[in-house]
Amino acid sequence: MSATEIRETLKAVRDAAVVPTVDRVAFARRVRAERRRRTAARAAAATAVAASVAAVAGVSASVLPRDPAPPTSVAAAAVADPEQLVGFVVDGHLVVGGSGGYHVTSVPARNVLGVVDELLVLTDGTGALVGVPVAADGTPGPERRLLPGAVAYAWLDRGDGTVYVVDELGRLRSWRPGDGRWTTQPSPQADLYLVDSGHQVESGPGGATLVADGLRRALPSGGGITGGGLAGSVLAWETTRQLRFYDADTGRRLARVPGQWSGALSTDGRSYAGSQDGRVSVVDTRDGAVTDVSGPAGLDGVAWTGDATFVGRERTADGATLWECRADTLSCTRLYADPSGTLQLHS
Amino acid sequence: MASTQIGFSEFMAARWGPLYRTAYLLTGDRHEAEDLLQGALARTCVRWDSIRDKGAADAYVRRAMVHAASRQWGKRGREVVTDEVPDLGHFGGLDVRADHLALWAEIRRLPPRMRATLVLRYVEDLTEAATAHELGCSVGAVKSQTHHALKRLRAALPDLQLAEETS
Repeated sequence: MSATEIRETLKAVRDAAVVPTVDRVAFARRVRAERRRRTAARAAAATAVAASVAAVAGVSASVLPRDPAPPTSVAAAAVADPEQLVGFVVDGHLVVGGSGGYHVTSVPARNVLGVVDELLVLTDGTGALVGVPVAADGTPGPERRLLPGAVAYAWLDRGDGTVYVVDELGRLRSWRPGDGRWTTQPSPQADLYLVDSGHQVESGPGGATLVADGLRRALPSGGGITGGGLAGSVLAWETTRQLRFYDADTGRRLARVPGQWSGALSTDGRSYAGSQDGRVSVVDTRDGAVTDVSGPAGLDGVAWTGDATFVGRERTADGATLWECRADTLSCTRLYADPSGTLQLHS
Repeated sequence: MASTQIGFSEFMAARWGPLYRTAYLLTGDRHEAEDLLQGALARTCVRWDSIRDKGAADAYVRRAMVHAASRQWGKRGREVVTDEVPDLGHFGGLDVRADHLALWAEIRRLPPRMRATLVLRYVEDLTEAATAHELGCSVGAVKSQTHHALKRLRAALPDLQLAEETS
């Protein structure tokens, strides 16, 4: 017997261990404690830094002439107007871009789900689901809460314009702009990872499962699930090793591409725009053909804003840049430069 | 469908099970494992926005667990091997072969740092250098811990004829 026996034993024990359900109350308590601890540590560090800066300033004042105060920050800059309406977050607030330029709002925002029927749907840092009417040129109207209370998860099916949420009570609910009421769906039997009209991906101790009418298909973890998306009856499944595409109706695998990808499906599910290993590409979900897009050296937070248009954030040494790319011409345009580096589309 | 990029809640829902299993191997105790994982996930939760590569979040949590466990080893002072295996009752819940169960019982008796070294090397498949980085020790210490772990297991289970494996 070799050390391989130790490996086999440990892996057998690992696989046999009975996984408890998450004690969410205890976990919430741990998170609150961790936040308090972190805040206290930051405050202590800030006090120490302030004290050292004050000390240095005191010394400098005695030997150096007083100079005008330098600018404290470099303002964010619009570089080009987008082809399609786009919403994104800078410094925790919504910015809307359209043919009429950019509008920096005071609306708190964290995740921008997308625009449907001239309503930009987002969640803020408190879990509130908010809608902001936007004109074609990007001019925003007054925001309004779309649902009382907080939501735990939210998804937007851009195909039919349905918003899905899991609310505070764990209920799956849906709503379409224009409809007056929310519809409560059958209670989910497991944690929901992805939802669209007709398909769900459940997440449980045994892994992830694609669920559709008459279908339950286990999904591979592939060394670790990093993301996924549902659109146009296609599931994109991102793991640390591979990007896989499945027919969400039948569970049949359509294609797979090696590597760790991060991206999003187009509304019809035929294309996937994503980033892997410092390049941006468009992938045909039917055969896995990869075509590179020129411009940014990698994008995250990719979101489709039109049939052939997607946006994403490039992190740079100077902060963050929002790009808009076209899947048909395989070219990208730099839209918005944010020196603060807080620009994001999703958290 | 446009959806939010994987958020912490989704990550936790998807990875709770696999990460718990790693925690269980590190601690050898189901309650300690749950406590260790909850603490590491809470740390990860409040730092989620600053983790640029969400694909590496698994490794981030694992590292947090190893670091947290390391601090416990330090608080306990000198690592003492006892004849008592904690949480014996859980053995009944492990559906594994008898020889695996016997070897696991001995692995659980190893000092926590040795056990962690075996877990990182043989389950997480880390190199000696990566294991040293995770444990915050030298490569030599990893080799030494592995060597002594095998020596102890050979002594405890002479019939298994464990051989040392080089990296």
